[in-house]
Amino acid sequence: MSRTVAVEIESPRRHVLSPFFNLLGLPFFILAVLCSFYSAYLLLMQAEVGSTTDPFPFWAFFLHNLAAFMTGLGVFLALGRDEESRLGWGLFTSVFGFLAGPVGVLGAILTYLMARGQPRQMPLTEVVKAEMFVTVAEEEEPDDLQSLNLRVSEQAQVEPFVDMLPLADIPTAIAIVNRLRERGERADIEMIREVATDPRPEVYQYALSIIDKMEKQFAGEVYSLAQEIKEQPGDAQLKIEMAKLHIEYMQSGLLDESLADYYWELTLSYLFEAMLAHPANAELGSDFAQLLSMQGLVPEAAQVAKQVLKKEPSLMQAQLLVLQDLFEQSVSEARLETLNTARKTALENAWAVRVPNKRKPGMGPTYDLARFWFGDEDA
Amino acid sequence: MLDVVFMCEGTYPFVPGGVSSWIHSLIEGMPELKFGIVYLVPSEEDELKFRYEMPPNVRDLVVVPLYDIVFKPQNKTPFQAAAWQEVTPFIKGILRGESVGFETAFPHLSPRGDREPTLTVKELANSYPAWEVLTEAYRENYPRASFNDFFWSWRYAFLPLFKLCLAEVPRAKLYHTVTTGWSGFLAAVAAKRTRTPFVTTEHGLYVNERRIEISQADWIFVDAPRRGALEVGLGTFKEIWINLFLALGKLCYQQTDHIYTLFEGNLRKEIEFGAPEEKIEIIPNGVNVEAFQQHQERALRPSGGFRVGLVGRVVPIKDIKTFIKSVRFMSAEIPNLEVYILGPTDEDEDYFAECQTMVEALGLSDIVAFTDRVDVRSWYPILDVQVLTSISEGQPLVLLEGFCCGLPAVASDVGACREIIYGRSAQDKALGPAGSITWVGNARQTAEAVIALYKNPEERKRRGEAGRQRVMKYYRRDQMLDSYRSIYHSFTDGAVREGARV
Repeated sequence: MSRTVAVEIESPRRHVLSPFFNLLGLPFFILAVLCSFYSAYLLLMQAEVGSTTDPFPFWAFFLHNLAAFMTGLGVFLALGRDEESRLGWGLFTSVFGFLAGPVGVLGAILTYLMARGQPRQMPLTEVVKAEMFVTVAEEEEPDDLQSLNLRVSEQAQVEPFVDMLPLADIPTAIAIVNRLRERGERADIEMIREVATDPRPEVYQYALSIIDKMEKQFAGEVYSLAQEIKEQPGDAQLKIEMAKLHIEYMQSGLLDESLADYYWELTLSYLFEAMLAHPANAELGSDFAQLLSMQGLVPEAAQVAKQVLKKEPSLMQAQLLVLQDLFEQSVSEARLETLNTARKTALENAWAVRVPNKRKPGMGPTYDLARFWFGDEDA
Repeated sequence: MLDVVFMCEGTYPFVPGGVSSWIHSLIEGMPELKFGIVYLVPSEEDELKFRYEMPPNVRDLVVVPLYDIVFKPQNKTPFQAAAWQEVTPFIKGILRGESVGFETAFPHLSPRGDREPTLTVKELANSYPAWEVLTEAYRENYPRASFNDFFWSWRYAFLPLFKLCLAEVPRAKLYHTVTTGWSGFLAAVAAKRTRTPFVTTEHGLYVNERRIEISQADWIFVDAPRRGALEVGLGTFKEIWINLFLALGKLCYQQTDHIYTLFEGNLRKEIEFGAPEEKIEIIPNGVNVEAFQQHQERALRPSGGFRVGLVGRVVPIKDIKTFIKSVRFMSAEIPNLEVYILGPTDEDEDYFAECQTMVEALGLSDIVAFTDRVDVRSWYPILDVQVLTSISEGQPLVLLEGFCCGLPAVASDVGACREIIYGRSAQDKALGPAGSITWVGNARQTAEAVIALYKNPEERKRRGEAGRQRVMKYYRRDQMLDSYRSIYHSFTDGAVREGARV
């Protein structure tokens, strides 16, 4: 059984600055000290005269800057080519020399001498503190096609593991369940249900707990919607939402098989109540047709859709359902010419031009059908 | 000196349940012995309420909080290089789920006689050598994990362990732990410190239960898996906790004198978790058959309905939701169905609310009733079938109690349910099945089994009778009490001493 290969990480040992003193830096340090002290002497002499009309001490200023530069250069060269941070150290010590004259130059050289052999990374305690403030950026969701490719590749990686489940050890089985949960599509949930029949208690208990957690989300939504319906029993939209939620629940694969009939009846009852309250609302009829289609009752869905289209010909969802029925008839009767005629008719119809370019929730088979009719670009 | 001290964690006398009832019946059944109880609790601030009336032979009750740790100010002690060298393998072993070096580490962690431990809790937790051990363990085991989270996991895992090494425990002739885990560790420490024997009884398997609980826990950080990769394992921090309990289990099994378990399945699992086979013995649970058979009071009058009951706490491990789903299915086939869920509802209020919502969503409000705590003796005689849908069980007493009243059972295939319903030995199996076994989490199977019993009253009666005979023959409380009485007396009277430490 293959497993994810661990990625090698950087050695946990911390890097230190070279502990050796590099003689290459020595002449520059001597020069820096001499320049710095002479510059200071010149400035002090000028101050002793005490004349305010003296010209700007260009010579002393030049030596002062040279001293700072030499200090930095000395450190830069002394640290050697292998030290990545030498430019930083050079600039740092130069600034010392520039800001504090001879004292700064001496201080900078001393800093370099004392820093040799010391770690150049934060100690672990600091790492801990720093880590507390690290925020992880949200992973960007790839667009549809990339997402699809990713899902396909993930599926290719997870599915063989499911086949191997009886041979997988407990952590691997749990990892499979986690991966399936993360993807959370119907097929994945069905696989989790399969995992729940594993004879090992650790595995089936984990799988059952995951199904329960996922089911809880639906249960919560159903509960709050049911409360709203209790408060506003005349609101047809709430009942449609409830019907759709139930359908989503049934389609999710989370619903226990033995309860499917009950939930179907419940869904229809919500929808019929809404239709009774708003008999003129053609969209409700279209929703009803789609629910029938979701249940696999395509001819029945098409019948309802045709009735709806008589009232409201622009309802795209109903039109697609009629097309779906035509398509399935053609396939089942194996008559390619019917298919082509149907396709031509569809393209000639003004309503069959725009189909959303992204899959909407609950649009699965219809969207696939649209792709078939109109090709990828129009779909 | 006390005769027997029980080490309890989340059970007797503050939490009701099967294990608590078992301890209570042992204490009550042996009035000649003096008992003590050490109860482990997460924090001193946790509210404790007695759920059982203390029998007069309970002479001492000590509550040990696990996480309230106060570092007493103390003078700086010299660096104990040798001590650290001996303690380090023990600590690192626990992080790997192994029990190594307890013997050598013990004198440095726990007092013995007048001698204080070499290392204080403060030194073990807050010193430079402790930091070194911690960082070494981090590099060796989890170099890719967040050090910050590792640090806190380590601290929360080990502080109670160090603290338990110093806990004051009443002196006794025998320590008896009813789980491994923290209380098993405390029993091992107390036994070693006072050179006293200790025995372990496992009803459910603590290691297994913690493993399941931790793997499902949302409060433990899990490193995000890389996209498209199958990360094997539960993540670093869940692994640390599981390894801790695995190591404590192994330590308890190593140190204990005997291990008593309820059924064959547990025995096999214990061996898998590192228990030496020669130490394990099976002593099944027992019920007071007469108390159930002679009870005259009835909770309800006959109504002509078909009554199905589930006796248990309304908590996820009992999988009440599967039972409710099965009721939906049953209700289509059984007219006048009455369903009672008999057990406390306040242990997991969110779960109870979810169950209530489900009852409402499935249109079962007129059929299903939650009774909360009741005297089950007055309920068993009025039920037609008992259902148990638990996803984990040891040896459920409720099935045996129901059998006392000739109540057949439909139970999920967990713990000892199969051997309780179908029998263990050939002689036992010859009594016939006392109900049906269904797969865990399978509402349809559960419903079908109940419907089958509803449709065949003769068979239902036959299975109830088989249950009654089975409990009378193999699961009587006096049999269980006799077994433990002889174990206790073998240690407390000094008659059998082969297990005692010298």
